[in-house]
Amino acid sequence: MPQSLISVSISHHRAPVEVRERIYLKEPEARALLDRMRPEIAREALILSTCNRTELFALPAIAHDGSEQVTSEHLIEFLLVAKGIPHSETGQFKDYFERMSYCDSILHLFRVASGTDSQIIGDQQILSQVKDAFRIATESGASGSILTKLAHAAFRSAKRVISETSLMTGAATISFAAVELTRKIYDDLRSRHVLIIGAGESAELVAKHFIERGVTKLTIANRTLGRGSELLDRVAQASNLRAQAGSLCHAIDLEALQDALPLADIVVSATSAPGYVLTRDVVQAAIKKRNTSSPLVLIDIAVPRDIDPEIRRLPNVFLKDIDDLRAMVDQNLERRKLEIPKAETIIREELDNFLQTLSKLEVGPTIKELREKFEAIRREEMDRHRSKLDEKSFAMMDDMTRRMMNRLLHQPMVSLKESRGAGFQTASDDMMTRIEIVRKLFALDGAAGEE
Amino acid sequence: MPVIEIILRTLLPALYAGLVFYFGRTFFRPLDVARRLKYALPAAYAVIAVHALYIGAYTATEHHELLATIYELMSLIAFTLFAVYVFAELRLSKETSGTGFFVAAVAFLLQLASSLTVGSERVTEIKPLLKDPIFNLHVTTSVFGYAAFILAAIYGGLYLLLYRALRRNEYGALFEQIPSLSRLERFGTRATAVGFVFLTLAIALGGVLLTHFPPASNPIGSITGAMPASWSMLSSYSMLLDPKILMTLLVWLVFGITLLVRQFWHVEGRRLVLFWMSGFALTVISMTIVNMIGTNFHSFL
Repeated sequence: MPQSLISVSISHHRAPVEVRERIYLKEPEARALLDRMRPEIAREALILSTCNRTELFALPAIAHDGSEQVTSEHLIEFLLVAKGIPHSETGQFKDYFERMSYCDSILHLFRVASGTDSQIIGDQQILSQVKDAFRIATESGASGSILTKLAHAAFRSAKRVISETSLMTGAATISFAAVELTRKIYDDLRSRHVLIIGAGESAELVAKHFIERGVTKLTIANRTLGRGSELLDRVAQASNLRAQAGSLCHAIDLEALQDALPLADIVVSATSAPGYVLTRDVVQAAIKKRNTSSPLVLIDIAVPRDIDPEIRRLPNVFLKDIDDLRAMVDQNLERRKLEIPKAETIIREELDNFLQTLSKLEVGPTIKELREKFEAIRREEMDRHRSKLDEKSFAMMDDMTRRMMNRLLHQPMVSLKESRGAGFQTASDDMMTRIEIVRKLFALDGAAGEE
Repeated sequence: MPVIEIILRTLLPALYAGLVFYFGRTFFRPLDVARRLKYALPAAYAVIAVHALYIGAYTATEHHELLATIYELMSLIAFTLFAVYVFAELRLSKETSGTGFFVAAVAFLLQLASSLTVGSERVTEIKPLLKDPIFNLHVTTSVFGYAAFILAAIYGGLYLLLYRALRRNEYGALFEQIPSLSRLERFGTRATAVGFVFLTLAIALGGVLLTHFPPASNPIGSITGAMPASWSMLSSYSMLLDPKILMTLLVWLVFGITLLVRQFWHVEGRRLVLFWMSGFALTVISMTIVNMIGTNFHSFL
C-alpha cells in the first residue's frame, strides 16, 4: 500500500555541514545501501544524497503477519549504522533528522525536486540530482511501481514549476552572476575574448560557466604559469574546448598581463594578491591599445579586491566587484522567494493529482477482491444445496443469488469509486479511508492489491 | 466609406493603447517569453491588419494616400514602424519581445497624434504631384527611412538606459526584459543602415522631382514659377538652401557617418549609439520645427 511510504531526511534546514558530510552517501555507497535494504527492510527504496541533504524514501517490508514493522526510526538507525556513526553519537544525530510519512513524504519530494526546499531557492541542480537518485534506485532494482510513479510525478511537478514560475530565473551564485551580468553586455560570447586572472577555485568556476555559455577564446593569467596551464587544461578538456572551431586558449604568466589586456573584452580577476592587480593606469593604457570602442567588462571577485575601484569612473568600462554581484544575487533570490507561493500551488495541485491517481489504482484490486470473495461464498452455498435441488430450480437459484449479490455489491462499489472530497488531499484521503474500511470489514487479504 | 474611416481612425489609437498595456504588463510583471509571444503576436498582427484597413479606407475617402500632411504621415510612419518591428524582429527573435512595450508606445503616440489632428488639415484640391508615381515613391521611401530611424532611436534609447542601469547596479525590469547591449547595438545599426538606404533613395527621388517637374504642378513652383525658364536649374539648386532639405541632408550625413565610423574606425558601443541618436535628434527637428517654419515647401494642401 502506498500509504505506508515513509521517509527520513537530514538536510541544511536542521543539520550543520559537519553533520551532513558524515551522512553523505557517494553513489556506490547508495547502491550498496539499497541492496542491503531489500527485501528485509523495504520493498521499494530511493536514496537522495547531495551536499545539502541525505534522504531515504521507503515502502517498508511486510512481515509474515501482514504488518509493516519498519518505521522511520529503523531507517535512521540503519543509515547511521551504515555510515559508521559511533553509538555514542547516534542520539545527537537522530535529532537532526526529519521523519515523514505518506503525504508529507510525497509533498517533501515534490518540493525538493522543484527547488523550493533548496538552500539556494530555485537551485537548478537539484532536479538532476533527484533524477540521478531515481536512476540509481531503478538500476539497483529498488524502485518498484509506487516509487516510479512517485518519481515521475515529482519530475512533472518540477517541470511545471520551472516553466510556469520564475523560481529558477536569474543567477543565484556569485560566479554565475558574473557570467549573467556579462551576457547583458555581450549576448554572444563566442566572439568575445575572456581573460581570467588567477587559477583558484573561483577562477575555475567562472571559467567553466563562461565555457558553458559559449566562450571559445580564453586566456588564463596566473602568477605561477604551471597552475594556470593546469586549470586551462582541466576546463578545456572537460568541455572539449580546444576541438571547437575558432577556439583560442592559452595560459600566460602574470607578467604578460599588460599585453593580454588590450585583446580582452571581459576580464575576471580572482587572485589572492594583497594589492591591486589591475590599476587605473594599466587599464587606461590597455583601452588606448584596443582596436574597438566596445565596452570593457571587468569583474573583480577577489577579496581583497584585485582591480582598482577608480577604474569604475572610466567611460565604456563596466567594473563590478563582489558586492555588486552579491546585490544582483540577493535581488534574484528575493524575486525567487516571491515565486514560492506560485510554486507551492503547482506542487499541491500535482500532489492532489498524484494521490487521486494512486487511490484509483487501489480501488480496482479492492473491488476485484470483494467481488471474488462474495462470488466464492455464493458458489460454496450453491454447491452445498446442489443435491437438494433439481436442475431447473438450481439454475433459478443460481441466477437469483447472482443477481442478489450484484445488487448488494452495487452501492459499495459505486461508493468506492467516487471521490467525495475536494482540493488537496481530501478526495484521495476519503477514498483511501473507504478502501481501508472495506478491506477490514470483509477481511480482504491484499493479494490482488499487491499485483 | 467615410464612416468606416472615422471608426477605424478612432479605434486605432485604442488598439495601440491595448498593445502598450499588454506589453507593459508583461514588461513590469515578467511573463514567460513564450507565453508573452503566444498572445502578443496575434494581437500585433490584428492591429497591423486594422491599420492597413484604415489606410485603405482613408485613401478611398480622401482620394489620395496618407502622405499629404505631416499628420497623415504620422499614421503611415506608425504603421511602418510597428509592422517592421513585428515582422522583422518580434516574429524572428524572442529576445526582442521586451522592447515591444517601447515600440508600441511610440506607434501609439504617433497614431494618437494623427487621429486627433488629421481632420484639421484636409487636402481640398488634389494636386497632380500627389498622384505622381515618383512622388509617391519619394514619400514611401522617406516613410520607411524615418520609421527605421525611429526604430534605431528606440534601440539607442534603450541602450543608453540599460547602460546606465548596468553602471548603477540597477537590476530591475530593464535589466531583465531588454536584450543585451550588444544586441541592441546590432539591431540599431541594422535599422540605421536600412533607414540610410531608404533616405538616400528618397533624397535622390526628391532631386528628380525638383529638376523634372514643371513649376505649375509642383508646389515648389510657387517659389520658382516667377523666375525665367532658364533659371529653373539654378532655382532647383537654390532649393538646397531650403531648411527642410538642409536638415534632411544633415540627417542623411549623420547617419552615413555613423555607418562609416563603425565600419572603418571600429567605433562601437555607447559612442556609436550617441552618433545615431544625434541623427535622430536632427530627424525630430526636421519633422517638427523645420516643418512648421518651412513655408510652402513640402506642404501639399
